[in-house]
Amino acid sequence: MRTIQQRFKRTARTQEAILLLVIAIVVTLLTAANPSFMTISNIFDILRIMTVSGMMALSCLLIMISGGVDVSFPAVADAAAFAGATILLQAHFNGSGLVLFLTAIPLGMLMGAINGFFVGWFRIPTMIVTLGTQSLFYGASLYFLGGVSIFELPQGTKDLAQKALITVDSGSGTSSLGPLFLVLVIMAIGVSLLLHRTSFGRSIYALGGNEMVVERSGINIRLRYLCLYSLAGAISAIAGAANATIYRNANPVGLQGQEMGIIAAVVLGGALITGGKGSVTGTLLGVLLIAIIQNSLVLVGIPSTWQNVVIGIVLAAGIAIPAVRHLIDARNKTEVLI
Amino acid sequence: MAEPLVSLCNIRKEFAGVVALDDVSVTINKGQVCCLAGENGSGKSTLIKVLSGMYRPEHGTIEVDGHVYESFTPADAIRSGFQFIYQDFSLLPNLSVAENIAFGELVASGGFLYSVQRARTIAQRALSRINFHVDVDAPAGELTLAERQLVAIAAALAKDARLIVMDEATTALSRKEVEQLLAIIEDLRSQGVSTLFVSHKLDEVVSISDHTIVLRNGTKVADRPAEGMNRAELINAMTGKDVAMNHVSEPISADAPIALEVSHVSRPHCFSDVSFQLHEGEILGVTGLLGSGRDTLALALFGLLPITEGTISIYGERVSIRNPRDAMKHGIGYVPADRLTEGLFLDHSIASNVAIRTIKQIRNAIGLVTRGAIVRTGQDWVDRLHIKTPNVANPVSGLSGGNQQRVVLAKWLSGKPRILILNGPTVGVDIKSKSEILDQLREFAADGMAVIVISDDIPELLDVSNRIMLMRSGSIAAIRERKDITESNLNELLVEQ
Repeated sequence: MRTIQQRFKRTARTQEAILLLVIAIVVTLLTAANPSFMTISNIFDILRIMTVSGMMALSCLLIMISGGVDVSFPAVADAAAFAGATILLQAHFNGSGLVLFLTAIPLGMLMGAINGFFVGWFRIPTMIVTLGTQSLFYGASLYFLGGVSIFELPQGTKDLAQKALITVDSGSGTSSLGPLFLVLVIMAIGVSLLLHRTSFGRSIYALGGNEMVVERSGINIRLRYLCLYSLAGAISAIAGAANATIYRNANPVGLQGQEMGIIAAVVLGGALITGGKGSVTGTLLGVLLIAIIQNSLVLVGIPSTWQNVVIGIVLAAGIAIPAVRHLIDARNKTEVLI
Repeated sequence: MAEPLVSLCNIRKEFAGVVALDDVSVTINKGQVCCLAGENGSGKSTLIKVLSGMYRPEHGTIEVDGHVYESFTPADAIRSGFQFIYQDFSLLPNLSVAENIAFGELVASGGFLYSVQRARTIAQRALSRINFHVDVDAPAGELTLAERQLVAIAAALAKDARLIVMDEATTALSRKEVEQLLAIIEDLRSQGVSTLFVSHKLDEVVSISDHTIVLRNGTKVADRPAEGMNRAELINAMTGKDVAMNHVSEPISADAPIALEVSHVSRPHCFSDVSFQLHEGEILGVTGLLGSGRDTLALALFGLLPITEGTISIYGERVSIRNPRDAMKHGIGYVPADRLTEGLFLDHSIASNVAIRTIKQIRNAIGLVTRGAIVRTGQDWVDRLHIKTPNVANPVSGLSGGNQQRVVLAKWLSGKPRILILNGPTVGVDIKSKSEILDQLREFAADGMAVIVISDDIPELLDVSNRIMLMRSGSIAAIRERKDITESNLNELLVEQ
């Protein structure tokens, strides 16, 4: 019994362990090639890069665990932030930068609820629904709000962008990390607690395992989907507001095209694309690895044109390794069982 | 003394004018083991769904503990302590055993917070009631089928089940596992839990139940204490006629050519030093407990788990079988145990499923396969195997179990195999279709095909085989002519260590 337990724990942790190892190797190589990689300012840069993508990855992870592949989260993030910023400007709002977040969240939840409605009530596969709704959200935002980026964000948002959580003086000047990275950390802890310590979280895993069993046990799965997708929409909206704050402009299509990279990072983090499995730690490690590569290839003299190729190779390898291992496991198991 | 737990009174259920249940009344007492038997389409599943509240009958009432329900909802069923274990056991493969057992209490109807520790406690308590020891932190997907079955029972008990309904729950279990399950049901009976057992396997029906209910074409044809009811009576009640399952095939004459000769074949962890001959026109029945090597041997002959030692000869010619393509080239066909996942394209038409095996032979002059050719091939086999369908263009998923199995058979027979290996040819098939399929197998053998039938179902093996081979721990424990063996001594051989 003990050995089965140990084996399970081992398999459950492998993807995270492999990722940690890969990150360690990549960091070592990068540091050897260019010592400036390991400077505080560069590390802060990497963490800043992963703030927004990390938040979107959390949204993507929640849906993926439940058995769906959401491609609309960048659209939700952009539309919520853009609409939120427009509303604040129209109202000549001049308060705290956090209000942009508070305005975006209900908009994101609404868009998430639209996804959840189609998935829950009509049982349409998430990917199909969200391919449709992402066009809808982008299109509606361009039609109603116009397609021009807003650079003149409210003063509060500008202030928030300049706030520093940690400031380190490193010879050549000061580097600082903004408070939004802390928001990512808090959200990650929150999502992790939700997944493992609440019955709602467990039912998300259960939905990804076998939807019919969940339904038979008397759970109203339509309502669960509606809540889940609204929550994912809220998280995407926070990501969108964070993106607008950090880059100091609300771009109606600023995050467009990032969905596949984020989905791949989540899968790289050990989540099963068919649902039922996935962890916050793995997801964040996946996002971190991609952020390191995006940030640092230039530092070591690899032209930025190669960046996508390298990211592609890492993703393909990271997704193929567990798949191959699963195949080998399955084969061994058949021989023992039969 | 016998206190009724639930009474279904005069239930009538129709689907688009077709009567599925007609004036059926059933009472299950507290602590009673009841058996619900009937062929496919007899209304068993409908009755269970009425009991679970999923179907609302057009007419009739449901009475639980003296309370008469006009409309009985799934929530009422759960509240009344009715728990249903379906064929797939309804487990969540990615969650731990503990979570699966505690799911109802902690997740489905629990509070906001979830505690792993409480889940473990609930699981341990339920598992101890059936005296089953398993690592509660292991994911349910890693368990064997028998273990999953027990976990499903524990999950039902954790929800304070007073009636456990098992729908074809033994289909995937080996004989020994079924016996363990029956012992647990006995034990639950003494704890006052009732069981409604839905099964095709008649031996189980007879051995376990206090009471037997038989449905045929939506009406109740028998409802009586199980004691004194024998197999023949039961079959008679289910089918409405006598279906003989007592065929004794004669040995094949020693002059018949040897179609398949297997000598000293081995594969590590699967089987070792297995030798036997199979004559043209012979049906060899193979049985053994799960893990005895009977399934791996079949997979080896079909090239899915190639042998590592020994030789295989077909009609005297030594052949090497490294993969299924080799096997097919030498005229070996394999009908897998799990027809749904391994044998059929469920959403495709009957004709396409049949024609897939011979797609190259039915090409026209310019090398294209026309719809007409597929339909003709399909129709041909539908007629030959008496598959009941109005149209060969209908999807296979709409057929009954017995007819689906015939489509799988047709697919392989159309390739004109010289040697056909069938694993559990009648699993999940009702008794009448079963006896027809076995008749058809005998006809094909009579036409010169050599057949190997692997099965857990002893009466079926005895009915169809010329010879019976028993495997144990990866080797052959016995090979007997059919006429030299009876059901009881085969059963003894099977459990002997």
